[in-house]
Amino acid sequence: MTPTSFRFLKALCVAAATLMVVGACGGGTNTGTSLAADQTLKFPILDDFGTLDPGIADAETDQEIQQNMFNGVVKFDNNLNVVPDLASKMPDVTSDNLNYTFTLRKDVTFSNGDKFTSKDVLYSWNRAAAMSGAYGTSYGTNLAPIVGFDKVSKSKAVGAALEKLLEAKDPTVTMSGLTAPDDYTVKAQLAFPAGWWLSAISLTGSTGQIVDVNAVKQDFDNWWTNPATAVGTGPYKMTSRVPKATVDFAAVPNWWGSPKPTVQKVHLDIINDASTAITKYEQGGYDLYGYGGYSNAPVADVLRIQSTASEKSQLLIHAKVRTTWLSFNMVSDSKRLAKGPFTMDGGQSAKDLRTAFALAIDKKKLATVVCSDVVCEAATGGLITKGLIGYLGDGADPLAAYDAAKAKSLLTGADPTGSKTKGLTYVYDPSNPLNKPTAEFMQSQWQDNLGVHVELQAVSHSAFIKSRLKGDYVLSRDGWQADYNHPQDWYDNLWGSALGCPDSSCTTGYHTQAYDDLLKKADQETGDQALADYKKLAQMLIDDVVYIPLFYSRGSFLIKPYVKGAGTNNFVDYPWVGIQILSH
Amino acid sequence: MAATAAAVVVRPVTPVQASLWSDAWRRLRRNRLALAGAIYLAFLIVVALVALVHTPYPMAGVAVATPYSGPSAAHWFGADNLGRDVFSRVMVGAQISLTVGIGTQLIILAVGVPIGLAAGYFKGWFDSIVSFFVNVFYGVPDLLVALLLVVLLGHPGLDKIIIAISVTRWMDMTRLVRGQTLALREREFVEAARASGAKPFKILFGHILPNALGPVIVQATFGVPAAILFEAFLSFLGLGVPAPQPSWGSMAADGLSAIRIAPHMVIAPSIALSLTLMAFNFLGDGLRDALDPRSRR
Repeated sequence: MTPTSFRFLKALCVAAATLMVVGACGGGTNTGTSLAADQTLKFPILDDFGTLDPGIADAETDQEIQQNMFNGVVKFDNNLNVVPDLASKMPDVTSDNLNYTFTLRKDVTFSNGDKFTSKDVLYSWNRAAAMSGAYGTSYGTNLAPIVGFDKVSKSKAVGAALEKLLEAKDPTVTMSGLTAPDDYTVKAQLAFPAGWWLSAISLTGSTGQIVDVNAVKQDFDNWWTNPATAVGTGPYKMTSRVPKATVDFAAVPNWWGSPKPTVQKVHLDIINDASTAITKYEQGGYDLYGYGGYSNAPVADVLRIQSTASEKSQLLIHAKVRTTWLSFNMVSDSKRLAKGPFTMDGGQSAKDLRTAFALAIDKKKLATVVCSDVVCEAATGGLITKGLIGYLGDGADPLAAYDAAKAKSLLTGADPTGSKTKGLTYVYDPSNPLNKPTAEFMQSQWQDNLGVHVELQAVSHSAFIKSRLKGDYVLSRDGWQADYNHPQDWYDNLWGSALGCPDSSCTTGYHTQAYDDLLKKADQETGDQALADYKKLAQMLIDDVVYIPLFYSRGSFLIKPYVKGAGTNNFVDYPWVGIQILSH
Repeated sequence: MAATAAAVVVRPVTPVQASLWSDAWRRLRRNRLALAGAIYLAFLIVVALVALVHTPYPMAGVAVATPYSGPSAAHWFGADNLGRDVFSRVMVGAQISLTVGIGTQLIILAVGVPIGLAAGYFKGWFDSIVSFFVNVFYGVPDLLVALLLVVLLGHPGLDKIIIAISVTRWMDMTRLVRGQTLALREREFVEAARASGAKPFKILFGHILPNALGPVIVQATFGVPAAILFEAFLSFLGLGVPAPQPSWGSMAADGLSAIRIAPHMVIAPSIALSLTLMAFNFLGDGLRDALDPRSRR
């Protein structure tokens, strides 16, 4: 061996030894490909459940958990396609789109061993329809197309009284369009064609999901709080719950579906502070962060993790189906207290004011300053979030433009003395960490570009929503998280007489005959025809300057390298059943 | 030798007649901490006044720097989450703190001193009622009262904060003045004034109050930092001055969520707050020692 070769060999050995030492001592976790012996998944949620009862649930945070405990006859797969769930195949639909026949799987059982049959579908859907009126639920209308819903949703019975009526199949709580010819067939007759209906009943943790009558009747309103009666057909069941502290779940033994659950236990801690929860994740206390509907992590934490080499790869930033905008009060009547200078009865002058306030905000700068261009992006393609059916296209929304000079000119023309825009207040709920900085950013922009001082008022979330829907605010934070991938979910639920505008459950009060007529037509159509009409509805809202688009949200997740199968689509977390914990 | 002795005999002894206030000022000047506190507060007042007409950047101007960026030559205290200049906001925050601290004490003096004087001088049923209310207010948690008031008074504002803090802090001054009056009303000079036919108003404000002024000034000086801290705490909870006005408390609260990437957002207002509290306390200590030498440690 020549001295040169020897030196080369020595250098190689030193390099190899160094690599081994670095590899052994490096900051990264050694993750194998074999499964860990302990298949317990631990992650934090930031608040206790509102409810896990699919009949009344309406919060994303609850639905994210419910999707692991309950099933519907159809569901969204991870790519947002509607696929069979408890049904063995997609429903047969008549050519007039009025009759749906669901054929159910015969191998399904609830977690308590009860057999799943068509009677459970009828019970669950009639129950949800009956609760929609008396309990004032948000998602009861997912079942609205079924013949008889109108009558059942007027039921005033609650609790045990409603349970008695349901068990007796009382006509007041039984939708006549919903029948079960045998144990494994369900027929749904619709009162009108509804191209969106299958999407609506696919919504996780909502009114289309199936509950077990034997469990529910134990305690009609609170059955879901008790692990013994919190029963569904899903792969996981609750095993213990300490309100506002911890919740534990376990895989259902011999679960009927596939894939079979690998994770055997799921432990949730309820920690009210996001930064504290993230710190505990970083210290190894959790396997995930962001699951359960809490992916709106503080920007500062996301930026910090992005700049930390050992953690950067654990960060998953993913678009979520949430758009944030500002709503104007558009109607002044005796039931809406807000009034203000932006109402439609103010004609062109009021419209110019709305346009001025919209054009005075630099939305791209807002996304850069408030979100660091990480946790949100400027909403330039209309209200419907990028990636969903109905998105207008990048830069297609003229209300997203920024033109300070034109804004000032419009303001000067519409309010030359400044009296109309004096004393305005923008109201927001600080529960989302982006809402306060967004409010302060807009306040600064209106001051700089229009010379208008707008006061800011923070109101707790529940009180804020209640007041906003009563029409108490002139300018308010608004937004929508899509329930399913269909424009109807947006245009039915936010504007127009169908919702209850101007005076019921309506932030803006906005409704016109043209909007109502076109919405009704679009809801009954399918495919491209429906989409074209929904886009016309979007244009109406733009033409009337009903809103100021702000940003589309992105969710922030932290996932340890040894957790496989965790993630999210635009709507919900990937279910626990697809997660594996590798040895580490 | 004899000449010297004669000189000593003939030179008249002229004792220096120092007034209470000049004597106090002399003692205060010897207290270096108190002097440092006074100089810092004078500087703070200048900063607050300058901020009325000029700050390096508009205190509400977003994106004048990169959000969360640290201290630099252009931005001495760095930038906050919206890219606002923290130094400019700390300057304006000084206005808020001083306004709250001094405004609160003015209200407390206006309310507490007359009530305390009257209660201590007249005694009887009026004193009983005042003592009852003082005890009641001491029994109720001041934070709870202040929170309720801020909420009940409507939209947050500096005036509401000052009123809320004053309502929770007037008792200290009232009790102090009452105690001083009870002691002073039996003194000979008050008896003499009374015997010469002076009216109660004249006795209270012409004889008793001037003699109680030392403790009152000390109490008010200690009350200022307490009020500033209370305001900072209310602002920290989101019940302070409305945006875009920066309070040191709300600035610290905003910075808390970013403390691991932008600690300057918390450190800058916290240091300003701490220095101000210390300065007032040092000054208060110094004034107490200066105005009442018997209480010196």
